[in-house]
Amino acid sequence: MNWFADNRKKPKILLVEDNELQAELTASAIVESGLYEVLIAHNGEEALNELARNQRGFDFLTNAIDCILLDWQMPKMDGTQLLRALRTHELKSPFKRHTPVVIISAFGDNDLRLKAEDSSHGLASAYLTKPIDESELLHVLKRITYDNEAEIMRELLLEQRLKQLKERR
Amino acid sequence: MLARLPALLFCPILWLWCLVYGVPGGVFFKLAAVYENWVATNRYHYILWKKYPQRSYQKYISSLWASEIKGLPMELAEYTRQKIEQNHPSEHFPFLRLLTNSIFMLFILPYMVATGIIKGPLFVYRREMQARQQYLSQRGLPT
Repeated sequence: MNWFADNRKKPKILLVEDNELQAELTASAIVESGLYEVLIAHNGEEALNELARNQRGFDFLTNAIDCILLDWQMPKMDGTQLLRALRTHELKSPFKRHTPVVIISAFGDNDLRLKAEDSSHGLASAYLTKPIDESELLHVLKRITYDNEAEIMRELLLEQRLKQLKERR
Repeated sequence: MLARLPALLFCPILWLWCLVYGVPGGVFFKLAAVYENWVATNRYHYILWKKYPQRSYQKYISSLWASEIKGLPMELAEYTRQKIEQNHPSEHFPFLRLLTNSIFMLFILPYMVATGIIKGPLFVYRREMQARQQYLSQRGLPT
């Protein structure tokens, strides 16, 4: 038995999804892996409240939430607005460290997806399209939470997008 | 906790609490934030070097190139880069980057402690005031 692996605190994932059935399906897929703890918010405002509840050390340290799975289209406060609010808040910190975000959108490989990628200003670490492939989702979460590759993934994604834009021109 | 105190006691105890808890808390958490960031930055450089050697190597060459190209005509840019790549065919362990990061963190430490002394009590004050207003509005009292 690996004592350290068993006793390591599970990373917290905040799932922001307006569709309750979809949220339940995605959350159960993550929880069943036994590696993560999942919190659910149904819109941007709830997500911000959840983030505020999970702040660490007077809000001076990075948030206790290790990764945010963000649905792009939502009522009240959508993905773009939430991401902007989150990053604006993070900019106040002297270190400007980001809480990793994975965007989930129903857009496939088309203009709408590219639009979503652009409007996120390269601040997301990965994009997943619906219907979500469970193994892909768990792979992305593992890279972000256990392998600490969120920042590198974000850089790679941004570079890839800039390359695509150059090619288009 | 403080929110339920009578109005006369609330203000002086809140100020005292800001000093007693806010100042040391602010300093401690700022120090913890510096440590957390130091670990994260060092980890980033290490993972980049270990798992993405090509990418790390290109960054390494770019940093060398940026320092060598200073004062040289732009026509020599490509030639200088090639020359650097020939002289440095591989990247060694990013010891210098980790050391620079560590020195930088030590350098900003006093500044962070100072901000902790100021921001800690402010944070505690705002949080307690918010809790107080919530408590009063729940009881239907003017806030």
